[in-house]
Amino acid sequence: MTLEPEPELREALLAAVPSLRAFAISLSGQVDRADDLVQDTLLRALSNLHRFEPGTNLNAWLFTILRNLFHSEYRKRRREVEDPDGSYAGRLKVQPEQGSHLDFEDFRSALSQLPSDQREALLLVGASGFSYEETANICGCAVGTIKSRVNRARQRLASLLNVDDIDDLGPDSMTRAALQG
Amino acid sequence: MLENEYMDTAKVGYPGQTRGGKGTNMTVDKGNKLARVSLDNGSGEKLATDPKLDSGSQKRIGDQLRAMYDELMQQPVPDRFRELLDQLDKNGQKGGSQ
Repeated sequence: MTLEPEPELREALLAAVPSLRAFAISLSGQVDRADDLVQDTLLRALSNLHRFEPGTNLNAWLFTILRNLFHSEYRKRRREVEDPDGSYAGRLKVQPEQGSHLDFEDFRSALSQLPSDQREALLLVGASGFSYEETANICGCAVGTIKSRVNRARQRLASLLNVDDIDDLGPDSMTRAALQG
Repeated sequence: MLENEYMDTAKVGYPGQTRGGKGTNMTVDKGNKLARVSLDNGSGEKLATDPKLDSGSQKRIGDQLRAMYDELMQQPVPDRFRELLDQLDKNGQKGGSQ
């Protein structure tokens, strides 16, 4: 059975793009690469629509596709993707210029230092809004594994960001210094 | 537990939403950090081996993560995706099985 790409399906796919992009950018650290991933995800989804079970979570299905594409590509490009000098964080300067007083450099840099399995688990549970069970399905592992990864990701971020030592990890270090001075 | 809050506030696929007062959370609840620490033992049964982060720190990290993510979510959808899906509307399902 093949689903027609009805206008409502098109709308649903389009509506999923911002969250797919946010996930892909956070995962890969590169906007260009993230957009390629999202595009490949949409194409693959459309050519495999017959495998999608209507009534199940379309977003979870799309995230599963994107995540699998990311990992198969990651394996191919491992050397390129590894980030010994922290340039992941540098590449993540994608926030719109809207005079925001928050700067997430410190946070992005810390995020980039997590092992990728922990990063993706944290992103799915903590930012994309999936349950532990959905995340386990997306990542193809046990719920307990996801809980453990999320927990370790938070621990690691807390220690990288010195969450317990500073009063506020929101502003970047310059702003923080100014506030404290 | 805390993750259920995420489910309430972090639904997927709705660009443009903002999740509770970026920034303000992070500066306003300084004083509550210690108070939160003691509340975090409700869900300890399944992760006996991993140390659990206190809930105040957990909240800070969660707030920061979602604020960063919100900025990404609010970026306009690049034209290429709209064009891609428009094209598929015209071509029907055939595009996928060439």
